[in-house]
Amino acid sequence: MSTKDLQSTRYEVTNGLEAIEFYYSKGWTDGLPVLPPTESTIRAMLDVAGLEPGDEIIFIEHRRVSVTAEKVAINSVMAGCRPVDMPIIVTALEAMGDSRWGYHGPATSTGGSAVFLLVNGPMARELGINCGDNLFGPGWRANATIGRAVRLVMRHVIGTLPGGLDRSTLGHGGKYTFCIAENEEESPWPPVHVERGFRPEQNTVTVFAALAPHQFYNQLSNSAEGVLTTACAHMRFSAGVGMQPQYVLVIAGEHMRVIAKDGWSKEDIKRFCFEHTQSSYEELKRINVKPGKITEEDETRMQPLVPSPEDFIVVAAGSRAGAFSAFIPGWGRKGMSESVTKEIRRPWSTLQRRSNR
Amino acid sequence: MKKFEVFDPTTEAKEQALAFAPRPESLHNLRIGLVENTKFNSDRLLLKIAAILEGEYGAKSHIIRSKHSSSVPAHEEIISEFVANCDVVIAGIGD
Repeated sequence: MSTKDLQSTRYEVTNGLEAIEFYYSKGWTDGLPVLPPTESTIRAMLDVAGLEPGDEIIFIEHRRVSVTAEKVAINSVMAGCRPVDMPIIVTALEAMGDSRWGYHGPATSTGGSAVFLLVNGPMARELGINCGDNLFGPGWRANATIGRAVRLVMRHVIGTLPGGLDRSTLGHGGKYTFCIAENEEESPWPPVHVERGFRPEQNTVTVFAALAPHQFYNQLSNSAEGVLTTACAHMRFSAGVGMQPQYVLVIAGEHMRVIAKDGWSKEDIKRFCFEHTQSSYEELKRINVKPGKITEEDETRMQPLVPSPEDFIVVAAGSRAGAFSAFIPGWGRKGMSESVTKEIRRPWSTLQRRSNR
Repeated sequence: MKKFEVFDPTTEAKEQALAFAPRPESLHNLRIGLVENTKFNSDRLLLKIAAILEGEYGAKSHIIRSKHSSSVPAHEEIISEFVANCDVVIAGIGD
């Protein structure tokens, strides 16, 4: 149980509706109504994560801002999260504080990225994080609120405000929330966290600075090569071209089964996509992605879409039905921001049952 | 009606003093440092600015150094070099 006093300023309200309007009047919202954070709901968040209010989750060097557990808990309540979601939110923020993710670039850039969260491990199923139907759409509390909580922390605690320190030219819907799980039960492949050295029973969250998802369809092919040829055609000239970020490739049910039927592993998928999404410098210069005059050697000099095959992050998720899959271009280039996976620690496991009641 | 308490979700800034470096009254004979952020044309723009400062405002010289990328602060080597060899520094090229 957290014992230290909460340090945040308190305001008195007479009812929930008044509280919602009060938060609107203060600008403490992403535009949707927020749940009023009270002492008991804030404490419940802290207790499940085994945190005291003053514990520092991350320190954002560029902003000189310390993100404390208390502020994370307050924003998580506001987002509509349950106490059991708190460890995921804390871990996602820890990953965003990692220099490889590099908070300042993706949070601030005119490029307008969102924070894509991929949850792996048994916890995703325990907490009901959707990995199936309407994958990027509404309908699941965990998906809707965990990503929203991270976003509210960015906004309220770190000052990532549109027009202020969030300079997105366009942004996209994923900036409200962008959280999914991998369909580990039906996937024929090792999940992302196992590919990255974790055990299947460990729980992880991966953060990825993400542009908007792009859907593609292929209802004609009955082969791995056929489906992925379509994927590559769409990806080759997509938002990240010329910059070499990482890409997430989300393969949904029908395509997953077609590709698996041919015996292709995730490594096979990555290698094929790496080879078939390259562009010549001649083409990149001609369409004004690369600067400079076109030279003779530009016609045979190729640039891959991503730095290496491993920079395609392949995720099995989406509905069983429908010959659709999607890719998500990363923001910037890999050297400026790359995906980071961290284990979700469970000091709170004994408390979880209580808060789940 | 019974009232209840809700909480501030923002970082509540504690007071702190910020000290700005003293501004020079003139650029005459001063050495300029240029922080280039790797964005296309930022080097050309900074060098044009340096030429104006030298030609019209009497600055003595300039050096230009590139950051590792536009989304990170200038690294330690750049800062040390500018501290040792420059009197004023120009940074902050956006899109």
